[in-house]
Amino acid sequence: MTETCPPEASQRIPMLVLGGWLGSGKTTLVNRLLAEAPGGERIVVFVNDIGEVDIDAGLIAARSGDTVELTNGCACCSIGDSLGAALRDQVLSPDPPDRIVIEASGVAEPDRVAAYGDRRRIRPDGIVVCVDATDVVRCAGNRLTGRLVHRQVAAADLLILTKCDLADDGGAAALAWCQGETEAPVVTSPVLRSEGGSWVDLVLGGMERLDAAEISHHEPPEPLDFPLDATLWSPSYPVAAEAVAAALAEVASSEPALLRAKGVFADGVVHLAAGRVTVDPRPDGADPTGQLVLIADFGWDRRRACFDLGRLTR
Amino acid sequence: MITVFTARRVHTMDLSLPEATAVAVLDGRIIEVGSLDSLQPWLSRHDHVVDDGFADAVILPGLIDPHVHPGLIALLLACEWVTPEAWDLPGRHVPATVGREAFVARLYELEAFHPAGEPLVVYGWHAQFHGELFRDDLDAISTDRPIVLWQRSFHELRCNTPALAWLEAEEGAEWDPHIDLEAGRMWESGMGFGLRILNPHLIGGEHLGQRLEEMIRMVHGGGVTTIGDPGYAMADLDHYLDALLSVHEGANVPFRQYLIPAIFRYRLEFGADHAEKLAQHEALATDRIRFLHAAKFFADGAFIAQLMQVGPPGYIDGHEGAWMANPDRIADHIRPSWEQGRRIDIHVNGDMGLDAALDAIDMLLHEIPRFDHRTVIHHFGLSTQAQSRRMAALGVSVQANGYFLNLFGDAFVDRWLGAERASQITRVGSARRNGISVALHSDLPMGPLLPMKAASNMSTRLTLSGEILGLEERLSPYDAIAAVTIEAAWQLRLDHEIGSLAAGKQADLVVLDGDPFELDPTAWPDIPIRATVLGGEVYPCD
Repeated sequence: MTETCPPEASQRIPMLVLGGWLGSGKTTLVNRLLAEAPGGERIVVFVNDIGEVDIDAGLIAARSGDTVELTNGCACCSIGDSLGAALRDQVLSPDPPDRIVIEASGVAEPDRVAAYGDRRRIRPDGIVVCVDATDVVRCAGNRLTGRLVHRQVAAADLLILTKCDLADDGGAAALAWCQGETEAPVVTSPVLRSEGGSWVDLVLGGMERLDAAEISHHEPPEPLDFPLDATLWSPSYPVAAEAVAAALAEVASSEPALLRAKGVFADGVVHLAAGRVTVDPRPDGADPTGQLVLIADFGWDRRRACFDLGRLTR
Repeated sequence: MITVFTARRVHTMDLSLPEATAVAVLDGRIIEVGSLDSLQPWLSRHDHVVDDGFADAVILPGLIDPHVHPGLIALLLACEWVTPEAWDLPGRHVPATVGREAFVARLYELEAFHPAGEPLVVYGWHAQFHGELFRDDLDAISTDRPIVLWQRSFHELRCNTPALAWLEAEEGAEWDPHIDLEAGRMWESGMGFGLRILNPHLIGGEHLGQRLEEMIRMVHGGGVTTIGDPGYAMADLDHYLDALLSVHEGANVPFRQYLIPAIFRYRLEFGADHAEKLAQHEALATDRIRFLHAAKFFADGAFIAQLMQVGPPGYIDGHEGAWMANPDRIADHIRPSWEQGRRIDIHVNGDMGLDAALDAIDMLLHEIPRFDHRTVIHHFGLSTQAQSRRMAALGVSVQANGYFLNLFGDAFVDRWLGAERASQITRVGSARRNGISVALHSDLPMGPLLPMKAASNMSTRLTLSGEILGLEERLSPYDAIAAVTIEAAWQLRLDHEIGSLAAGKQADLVVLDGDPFELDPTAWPDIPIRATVLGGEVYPCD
């Protein structure tokens, strides 16, 4: 039993579940997340694997992170591993991670994986499901694999269409399939291309706060074009998180296309999501960058936004 | 010195010379099977003794159970047992217990006689046979002592309040969605959470060796002289092999044991060093314990827990099975072992699992053709006519669980599959009609280690309720006995050594007090086993 009190909700560790069929690009995306995560952020990757460990875990380049390998097979065949227990061990350790990413097995249902973890200490940070543009239509129609592929996609908060560059049609058929799936009432996820880089910010920024329904219904994404744009606001002077938050709230109220923002400052972390600006304490070990990452629909006035942020914080 | 064992009848399980009355043995091997008369060319020229202790008995080749898990049964031997079917365990007989009232009465009895302060862990509860039992029901038996019921299919624990505290379930429930405190349930990975405490309690430290020692008698009592263990050890391979090699080796151990690695367990435990580590382990082979040039893989989920992958029309209640490996990638898992010339064993239960496994073998055969590859489908819960023919074409053989139909057939008729498909559980008759090798196993502890019972089950196709399911899928009496002798040997690639009685082969025998070929197969489980002989050494049964 633990003796420490549960931390404040804002200090809960975000937990992202990355699902999708084997070969759909999950490991590539994990490596991108590890490579592009803010400096100093410690990410622990749980590989929830069933005998594919040589294929998956071995390929994860744990830049600043750690990898915990699990097997959740049938108890008759592999007694012992428990994702819940492994999460507990990491979160309650003296050096808990700043972020948890669970790479679900290719045959797992990601929403079932996302149900693990003490909610007083872990903040569900969304389910991202990779879809292989070259293979998803075949997998979805296959007698052995089809039902599970549909369930995986249906569970997603965000679908990431991968390998569009390798598909003969640039991924058009796969995108159409995804959009067909997302018309189902349970799924309202946007489809993003992995070649665009900004999904990393979206994923790392906190999926929980992203109103996926709003984005997916905003505008049908231009086929094969990433619908969002990102920019960086970096003031050359020291600035307090509260001041940034106040400025950001004002900018957001006049720029509806601005969807997400996040920045780590010396005295706190500033978020914008779903129209709300919040300031969280800066986690230990998260180096302040003094910068704000801004994500918005194309066509927004980024110069004006940066100008206003500067004007309001000086 | 030649020893001649005489018998009322010897069934060699070699149709070239099916019956005899004497077996002559020198240095552990058979030098001739025949009669005292026919043996004269040997006996007139060499010293010999005639052992006529079995002169009124019937000798068969030592029975083979090619799929047994000593590591798992060791864990369960540390528990009390209340099971829907009868078991003979070392030092105790477990009678069949059916019905909620009988089960609860037995729990009260066990609790009353259990040492003070010790948790009571009971294996064998199954809602289908014993009704539902929740936390409150178990609290009614004791609110002081932890009481844990371990479900017959292994996928769930039911706990009383002290047991929930003992297994730290309250904390576990915060982390794992498969723990229900109110009901006292811990299932799947939630059970895994509890096993972190339960396992060391049951087989920690010296306990593993002690339990492995006990299970020696279970093997012997079944008339078994050879076991296979595909996917040995549940975790910590080094620790397990240490214990196994020190306990299951030696003249007191009346059986040979063949280990087949599950490659993914090596990968999980040893990562990049897994191949090297496997080679190191294979070098530990002793007289009794050998490693086969084979490898075990998995397709779909378990039969008893209804997690096998069933194709259309699926389960009656609409639930879905589970995959244990990505069905698209089974060939990728197998390929390195296939390239090494290893024989391939695949855990398969449902017809969709079988499709996935056969697709993989089909693909590998096209890539790297192999003659005599002897790939074996293990368990073989549900399959189709088309699959029987395809298996024959691919040269894939069947190693069926000999107990699925008998123990669970009724429930699969009533609840899960309906009569037509439940009648085709372990459709071994179709396999034989297509010329496929059929062997039987217990998957101990999934079924009891009693090959004569498994052979009887598949020859009669009787369920616990006395129904016959799938009469046309029964084995002939000869094929049923072959399935626990020569066919099992062939599947292990050991048929030149064991599985039938002929000059040059190991002198491994089972001595029965009755002749199975004179008796109805329903009577086979009751034929007393008088002794086994391993390499010419006699091991009397109690």
